[in-house]
Amino acid sequence: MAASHGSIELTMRGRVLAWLAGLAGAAAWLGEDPNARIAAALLAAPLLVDFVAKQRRMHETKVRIAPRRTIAGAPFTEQITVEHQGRWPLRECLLAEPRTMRTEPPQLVPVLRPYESRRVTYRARSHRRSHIVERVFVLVSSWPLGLFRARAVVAVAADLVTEPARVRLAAEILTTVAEREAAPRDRSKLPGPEFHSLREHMPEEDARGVHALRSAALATLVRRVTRGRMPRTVGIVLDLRRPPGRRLEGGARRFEWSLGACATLVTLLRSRGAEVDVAVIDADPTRLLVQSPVREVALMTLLAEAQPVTHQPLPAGILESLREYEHCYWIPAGSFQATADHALLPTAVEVIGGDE
Amino acid sequence: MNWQSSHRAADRIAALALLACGILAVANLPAGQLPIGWLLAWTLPAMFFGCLRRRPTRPWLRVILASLTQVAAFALALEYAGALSRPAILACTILPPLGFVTVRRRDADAALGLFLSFCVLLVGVILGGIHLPLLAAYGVAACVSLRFETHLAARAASVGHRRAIAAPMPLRPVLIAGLAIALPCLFVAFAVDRTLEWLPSPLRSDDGTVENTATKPAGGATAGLDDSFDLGGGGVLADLAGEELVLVRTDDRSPMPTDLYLRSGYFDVPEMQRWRVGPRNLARPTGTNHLLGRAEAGTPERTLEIERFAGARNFVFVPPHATELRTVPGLVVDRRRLWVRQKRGADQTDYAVSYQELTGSLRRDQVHSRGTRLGLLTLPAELDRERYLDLLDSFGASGTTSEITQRIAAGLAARCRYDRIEPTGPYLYTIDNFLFADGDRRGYCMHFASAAAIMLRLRGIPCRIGVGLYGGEQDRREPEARIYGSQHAHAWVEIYMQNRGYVVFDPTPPDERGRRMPSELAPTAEADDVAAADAAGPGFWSGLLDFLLQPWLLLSIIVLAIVATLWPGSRPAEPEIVVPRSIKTARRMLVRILRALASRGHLRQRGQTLEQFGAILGTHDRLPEDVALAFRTYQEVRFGGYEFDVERERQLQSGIASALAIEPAVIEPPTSGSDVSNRTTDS
Repeated sequence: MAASHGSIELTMRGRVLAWLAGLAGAAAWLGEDPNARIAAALLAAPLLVDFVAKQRRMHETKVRIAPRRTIAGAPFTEQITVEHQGRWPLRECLLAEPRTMRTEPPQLVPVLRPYESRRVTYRARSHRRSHIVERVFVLVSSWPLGLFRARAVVAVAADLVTEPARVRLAAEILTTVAEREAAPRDRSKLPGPEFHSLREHMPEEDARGVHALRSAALATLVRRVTRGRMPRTVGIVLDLRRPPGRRLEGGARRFEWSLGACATLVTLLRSRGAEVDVAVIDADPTRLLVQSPVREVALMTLLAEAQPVTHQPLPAGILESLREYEHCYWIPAGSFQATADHALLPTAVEVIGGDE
Repeated sequence: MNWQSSHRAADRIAALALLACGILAVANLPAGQLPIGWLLAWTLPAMFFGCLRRRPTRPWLRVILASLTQVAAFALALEYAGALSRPAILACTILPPLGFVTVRRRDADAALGLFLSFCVLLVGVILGGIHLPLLAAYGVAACVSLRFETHLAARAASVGHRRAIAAPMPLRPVLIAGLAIALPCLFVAFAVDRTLEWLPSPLRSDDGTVENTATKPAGGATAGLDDSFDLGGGGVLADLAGEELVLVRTDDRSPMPTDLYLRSGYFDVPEMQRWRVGPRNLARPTGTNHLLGRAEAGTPERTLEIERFAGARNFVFVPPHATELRTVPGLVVDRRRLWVRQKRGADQTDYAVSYQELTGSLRRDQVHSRGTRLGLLTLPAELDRERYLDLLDSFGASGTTSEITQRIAAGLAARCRYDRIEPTGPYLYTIDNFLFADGDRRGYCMHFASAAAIMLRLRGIPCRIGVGLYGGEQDRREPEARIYGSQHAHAWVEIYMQNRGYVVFDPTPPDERGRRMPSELAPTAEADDVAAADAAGPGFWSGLLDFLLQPWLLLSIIVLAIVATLWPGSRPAEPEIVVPRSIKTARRMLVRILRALASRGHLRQRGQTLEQFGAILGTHDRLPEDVALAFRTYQEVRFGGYEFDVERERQLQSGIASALAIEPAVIEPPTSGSDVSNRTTDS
């Protein structure tokens, strides 16, 4: 964890003043010129006063912040609690988090007396997919005369998961898979998803799916599961391997887009009641059956941490469980097409982002 | 007040403060050299362009328009206010940008405006001297301006594009902070000034003179004594701040003569713009007594006791026709030229000097023939001799030395006016402006003495310029003594005479020589009051003030403030949560319950709340009702704000009794992955 630290630097205005004061002081000292002495005194006085009155120990300011999940590029409103630990009140302090406030202005913290804490709300936006366990805040204050600038970097242990940005997927990607699903025996003639069953409504789910009558009868919220033309479980293979002989740094845009596509697909499938079995092929291949919101969060965290890996043969048995599903997506995030590996799956494989 | 209006108000205050800085800086310019018409001509066109909402977009058009306006303003000023001197023109070149940025006020304009106003202020100090109230007012206005600009910058940085939802800003604390910061700023400025004055300059030589004599006079204490004689420097009178230099009394305590000249140095090499000290034959005599000249028989000798203060520590003041110096260690002397100085660092403050009061007229045959060899007849190479000779002729300066000196003095008094500002005019050299400028020709003792010395040399009379003190004031505590301050610095001419040495000739009009001195020797009523007050409580407060204003003390205060700021001191104590005494009693009783439970195998884990602990005990049916009630009672007292009364104390006592009554449990070793609740089982 990075250590919090503080520093005091001259502003441009202060730098000019310091140069002038130094020159005048040297002239007064060498030449014993009274006018130069007065000039040096008048120039040096605000510098000295500003330096002495400058805010100190700003890096000891405590920042309390809750764990946060967000989507890359999506704005959100952050609430933090700032507690000042210095000897003198903290005045005119600008607070910024470089990672999430790149396009947002810093927040002006109200006057804080020693050991006083205030809640500060600011707009933020995490631009890069990531999972960080430490958030860094920068406190800057030019109080009182703006000739010196006190700057402090405060590191706080706090989770920030930035999920991949969601992308637009072609409508066929979902409909094609759905079309392949065998129609149930009692399907109606109407197109679209059909009622399958009832299940408990989770608080974070869309309330429009709640079955009002059954909820009233059971005295608890239940929602309808429409399955119909959507398969029950869909397999997704997220291939993070780079093609042989390619550098890891290449194909960053495609990689990010592919992770976004995976996240979008999982969200869409889950919203339609399907379960998703995701196989992530990287240095340490992982399989994750997403059948609950908790698992979905775990998958998104996995996607937030995903990195391209060098090429390696497909581990044996990783696709074993996917064979039982009729529908599979293959997302070559690392740009390795792996057409030979598709044959390991008995069913038709829908490749997302396959074409360069 | 919403954000918009509070921002506008803050912006207005910042603009007013900046404008006040500019006005104060301009007000500090000497009105004698900068007529109001010229000031308006320099500032108004630029301010007009700064006010314009829509300026011409093309740069060349802007330049042409601004130039035309400025030239028109100059023409008007020239017509109605007359010509402007060269230093004044140089000083005024800062005014147009100052007026422009002060009125325009964009992002970086405040800093630039402050800087320009500071330049104007400094020019005013150079030309017109120090006006402490103006300087203090400027400092206050500058601090307020800086404070508001910093505040506005922080607000602007934080608000960004979301001005609509920004909260209003409180202006009063900002204003108070700006005013409060002005006070330490003024103190620090004073301290830095005193410290720089106190620091020994590396250019100062051992004998106390500054090596670079071409520079302006050095230091308020030495200005006008002998450091330089720069006619166009403008700094000499500016430094006459009234600092006390020497106290002089006679050895027999008889009243001091009021017209005594005390020379501390001389200048013998003339240039058009300044005079320099020529080559000297320095010697370091041993001992503390030294003979300066031969005493003339028949004329009584008088002895003066001279006490020097801090500003004149290294100077040796001698009256004309001095014969002997006593008790002055570390002397550096040129006997022929009568140049006496004390070695730097000597801490002797008092000494005595004997002299004779020689009288008699100056006859031409008495002029010393060795004047040429001593370089007392040289003239500046750039001197326009014809013009000066014509002037001498117009004065009728011919005949004996006495007649020439009288005519020169009378001619100068008729032609030039004594004023405490430097001569101005169209000529390159100040001395030419003093003598030949059209209209008002004015100057002070330096210019009178310089002009007279050049004229005397043109007539073949060897002379030099003597500098030192003249006049003085009656001392309040010793009425027979006279005290001389830096305001009594004076310059005169010394003519080198046969057998008489250097004889004083003062061309400055007699009424003006001691103009700043009180004209009457008798102390005024006010002076009596002050003297009485001094006698009643001799110098306690003034002594304390003197002590507090010592440069080393001021420097120490600044250094201490910086060290205290940088010192990694301890943190401030965290605010304590006051716990009522009754809660302590309740806590002690709770501890007894928990101890009783622990001794029976029910140990509360670290971090486990009473509710969790009670729930675990309850699941294993090991929580008696009284103990549960005691837990609840304690929580009510501790967090619920209930009083710890007799009833609650009884409930806790019952809890203790019940806990002690529980039978011990059999402890099983905890299994891996088991819950805390699984650690205890029923016996």
